[in-house]
Amino acid sequence: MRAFSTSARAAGKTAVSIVPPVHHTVKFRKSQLMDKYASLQIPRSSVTSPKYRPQRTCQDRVREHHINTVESDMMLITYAHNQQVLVGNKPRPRKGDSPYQLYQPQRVPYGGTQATKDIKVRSWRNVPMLEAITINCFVKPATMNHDLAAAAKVMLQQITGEKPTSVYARTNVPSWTLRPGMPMGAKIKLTGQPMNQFLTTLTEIVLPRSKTFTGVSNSTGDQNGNITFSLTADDIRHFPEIEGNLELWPQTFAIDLCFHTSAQVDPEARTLLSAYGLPFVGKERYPARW
Amino acid sequence: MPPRPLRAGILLSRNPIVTKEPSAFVKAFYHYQDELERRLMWTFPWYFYFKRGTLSQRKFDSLQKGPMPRHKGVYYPEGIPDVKHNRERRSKQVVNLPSQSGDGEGDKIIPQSRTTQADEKKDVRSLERKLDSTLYLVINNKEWRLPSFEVSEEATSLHEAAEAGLRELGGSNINTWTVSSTPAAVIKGEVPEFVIKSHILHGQFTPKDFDFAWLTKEEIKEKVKPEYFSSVEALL
Repeated sequence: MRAFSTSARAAGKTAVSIVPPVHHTVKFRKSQLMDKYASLQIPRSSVTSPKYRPQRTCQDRVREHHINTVESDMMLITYAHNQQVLVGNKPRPRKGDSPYQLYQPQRVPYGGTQATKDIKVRSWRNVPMLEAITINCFVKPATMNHDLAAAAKVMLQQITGEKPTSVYARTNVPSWTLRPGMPMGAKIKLTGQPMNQFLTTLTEIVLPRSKTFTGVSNSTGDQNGNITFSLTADDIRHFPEIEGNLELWPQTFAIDLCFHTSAQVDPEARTLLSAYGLPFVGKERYPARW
Repeated sequence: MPPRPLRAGILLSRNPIVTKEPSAFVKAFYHYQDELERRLMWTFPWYFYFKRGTLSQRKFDSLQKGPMPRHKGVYYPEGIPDVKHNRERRSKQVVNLPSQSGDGEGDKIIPQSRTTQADEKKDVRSLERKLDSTLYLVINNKEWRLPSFEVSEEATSLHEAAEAGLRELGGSNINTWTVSSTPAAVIKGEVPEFVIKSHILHGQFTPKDFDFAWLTKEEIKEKVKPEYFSSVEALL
């Protein structure tokens, strides 16, 4: 049953054992072990790594605001007396009294197919904070004009100051002239100082001047404390980097933003983001358990 | 049996408006990191911002001081130049941009001082003092302390009692935001005092018949009695 060798896949077997102890195969090319690539093994946080980039280059207003004000406020807001750990819906293990159950998956949780996380007791250890902002720019007309995907990538680079990665189509839809491997746009995950810089620009310059933005909908959220909304192509024109030379930008592209927070439920994530100056509209939605 | 008497205190704070003045060490650290980042930056893509053959490109070009070229057989006392794409790779790239305002003076961004007029006058009643730290409202009603009010039997909640009491004392020309209806602390005593946390957003606190001050934690320590300070120290 077990097959650890790399020829297992060619033999039509699974490459990884699924019976514990599981030995995952780590793929590498032999050339990566050459002496001249040794410096690439150094973690990029080390100054000796060729990928090293300084993280703290100036004072961070947003970080100071978080430490001075938001952290203690969030702790007080989320506090509740006699908190207990709310155990989420978990997959139910099989009894194991039949040998046929050995390789069967666990039964789905009660009341749904998805397992849900436990909600832990709020304390000073897990005060919600903003961890990352993901920006995704998907350009539909890029199926006809591949240059648009490159333009979207440059646009993200301009408004964030960081290097984005391209996104490619994965499906084949002949009626949309969509084929796998087509460049369709770009995405980027911001953390730390660039994230805070982007957040400041967004809340202080872009959103107040937008003609269509009324606020982030209260119905957004993925139940794990991640809040998503989008900016239109016209809103992008208010970023100072784009506005500074508009003649370079005959076309801008709409973006989707995802704010990743460490909040355990969405209302707490919304409270946190409103402390950073993001307005919310609509009726507040509370989850069934929080 | 009559209900136990309670007091509702209010910890009214003005949040910092500007960043803290960095210490000499922190300044040196940021300077080093910033220079290092500039050293590691990609070469400035001037062709993206200044179209080839235009007047703006010519203006930009005239302002640039090119790198020292490398020639064979020449002794360079400051090290052999390492030039790629018209950039000296051993040091940061200095890009001189054409002036937007004409004379070049309007381009400079000069930040205002962290110290204000209120700081110079030592006006502790002003909300515009100590912009880089949190200020808390303390009042001198017989002794210096945080404002606190008796909770009447009709009161429905502590935070409403605290906010109403604050307006009774200092007038209604104040806009505050209660952080939570949960008290931030309880100061034990003959009559327990529940402290409600609140931020001032706008307006002024203007009491009629006693003194008040907006103070930082260190200033409060000097002003109030030591035993009272030890009871509220963890809050500030």
